[in-house]
Amino acid sequence: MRISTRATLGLALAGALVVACSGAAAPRAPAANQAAAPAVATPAPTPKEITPPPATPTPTPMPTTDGQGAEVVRGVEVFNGTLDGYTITKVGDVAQYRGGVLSFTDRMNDPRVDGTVTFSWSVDAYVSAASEWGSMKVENKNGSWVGPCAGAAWAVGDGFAWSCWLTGKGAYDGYTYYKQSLKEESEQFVTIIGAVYPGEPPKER
Amino acid sequence: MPELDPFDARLEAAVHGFADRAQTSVDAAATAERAMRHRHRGRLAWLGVAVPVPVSILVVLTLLVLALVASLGIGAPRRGQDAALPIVAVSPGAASPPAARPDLASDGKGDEVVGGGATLTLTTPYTYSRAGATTQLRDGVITVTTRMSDPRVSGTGTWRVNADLHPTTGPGWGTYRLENAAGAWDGTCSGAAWDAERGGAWSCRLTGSGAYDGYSYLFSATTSDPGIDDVRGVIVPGPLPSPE
Repeated sequence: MRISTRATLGLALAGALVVACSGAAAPRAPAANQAAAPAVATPAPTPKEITPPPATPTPTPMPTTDGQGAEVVRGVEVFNGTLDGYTITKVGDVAQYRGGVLSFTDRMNDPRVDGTVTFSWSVDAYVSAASEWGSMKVENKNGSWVGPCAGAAWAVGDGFAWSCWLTGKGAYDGYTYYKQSLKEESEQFVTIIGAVYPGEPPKER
Repeated sequence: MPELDPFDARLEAAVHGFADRAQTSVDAAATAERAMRHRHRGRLAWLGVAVPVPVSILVVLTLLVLALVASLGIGAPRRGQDAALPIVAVSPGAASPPAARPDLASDGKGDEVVGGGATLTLTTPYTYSRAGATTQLRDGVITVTTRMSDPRVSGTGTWRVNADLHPTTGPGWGTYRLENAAGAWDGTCSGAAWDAERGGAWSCRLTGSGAYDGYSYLFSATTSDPGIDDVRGVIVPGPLPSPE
């Protein structure tokens, strides 16, 4: 069964929303023993709760690059991988998601950044918005790209915007890939836009 | 003196004889004029005006001065807008930013999803220099006007921008301050800029102050038209998360 990014991130933040809403509905002045209580890890929802995904998106054709030097790159993310277990910890009004690993495929107009993706992510979810961060690896037969990501999520994970600074390995050694992903809750696609260039990521970011 | 008469007679005869053989068609006035014309319009003249040194020397000196000025300019950082090297798509006469998204109505409190638009105007040209094949752009200032779905992040921004272009695509980074009457957001932005579409993609991580103290603002911006960005992000309580 193919599972969309929308569905998986929806799963990720649906729990957070439930937890956050339950927290919001609860009395705001916690008892002393509640305030002192340690955070409790909650098992991740089982895969049975995942909503059947929409059809696999078909990327719109776009001009390909020559795969050399600095290039502006575009593409889409297609979720056809896995979502490994994560924990949810409630701390005050925030639901902390930790240890999630998501895998999917990027279909890009530059072969250097086309490939399979592994995203190790964390989320702090509030009532309607969440911050998100983690590390990403994009790999194909010629090399890989590895680095940190950060961004925002909303609509119980159905919308998100994150960006990653990835450093090239293998055939891409000496290059950097800036990757920005955007998913509007009303859209089917996760769109990617970014750039590949020779050199290091900026130190101030 | 009668003894000189024979000599005078011979001399007279010789003079007349010489004069009879001489060229008498020469026009002295015309010859003088030609001589003067040559002097005024020859190699010592410039556009018909007489100068004290040969024109060729003046031309060589002028070329040397131009070469010196050019050599001083090349390699030194320059400040100014290079049309071939836009760091971001900026609008010289920026219009009002696009309307905030009505589907993202906000009460302006707590954590919130935000969306809207921004216009960018380059108010301080950057300096640029070459380092091999890379064009280094430094210390540009872009004034950003944002119109967002949440009033806390609508206002005027100041983005101090740097970029390394290879040759027209590459990373950009810098500090960003967004402020309005109630408070401000400060932090950094980074992303990529490119020339072909006169556009870029950026992400920013800002910390609130004033009325926004204790909140963080994270957003991504993508150029939709030159000088106009679409903005999506969130306001969340607490400090900025640290990427792993």
